[in-house]
Amino acid sequence: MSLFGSLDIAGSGIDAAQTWLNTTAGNIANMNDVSPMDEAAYGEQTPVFVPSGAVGQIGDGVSVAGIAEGDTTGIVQYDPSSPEANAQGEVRVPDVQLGSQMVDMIQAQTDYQANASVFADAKTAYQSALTLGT
Amino acid sequence: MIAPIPPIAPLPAAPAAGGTAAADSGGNFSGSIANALDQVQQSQNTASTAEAQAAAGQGSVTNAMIDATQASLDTQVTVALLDKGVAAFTDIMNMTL
Repeated sequence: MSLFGSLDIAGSGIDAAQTWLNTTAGNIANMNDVSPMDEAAYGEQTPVFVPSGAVGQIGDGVSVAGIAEGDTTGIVQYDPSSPEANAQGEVRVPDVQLGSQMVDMIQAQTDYQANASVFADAKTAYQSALTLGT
Repeated sequence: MIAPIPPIAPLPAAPAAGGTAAADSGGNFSGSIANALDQVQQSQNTASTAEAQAAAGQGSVTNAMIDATQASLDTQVTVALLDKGVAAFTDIMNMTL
């Protein structure tokens, strides 16, 4: 761990929150995708957060272990006018709910702000250490 | 189950006599400050690289800001130590004999 460990830890949290925002943005962007019945639908993406250090160690920040993909069965819709529709006029649309995505986005935003706040406070703390004895 | 946090290992023993402390700390004041300044230079180089990458759209802005903050704090630590050392020197120089 470097001299300013908590800055790196807060930075890892900011990176994680950024990944979360990105997946949420991707889910909202792909909400209206249409896939043919013989292909998988867009699966809702959710980042998986794990601690960076070994279990039982003092904090070492957070990292993104991977992106979990949701159900790719999607929702079967009847849309014969779509160019992707099969003979029965069915298509797959992603099982992504805008409401829960917006909630996720607010959570990711709050996560980002909390980590940025920790970063700012850690910087102030290090600076006040330098004023010891003056 | 939550794994328990292991106890913190005891610190290495402090140097016994005051006379050997200076030799153990690895050199004189100017050498330490020069080393510290080298490290400040290194962290500023890291910050510059990160900023250039962020400006080119390759790195992340977050990392650039973190590296810049660390470089700034490194500089502040070194300057604070330098000020303290110079103040000590001035105090000795102003001693009335």
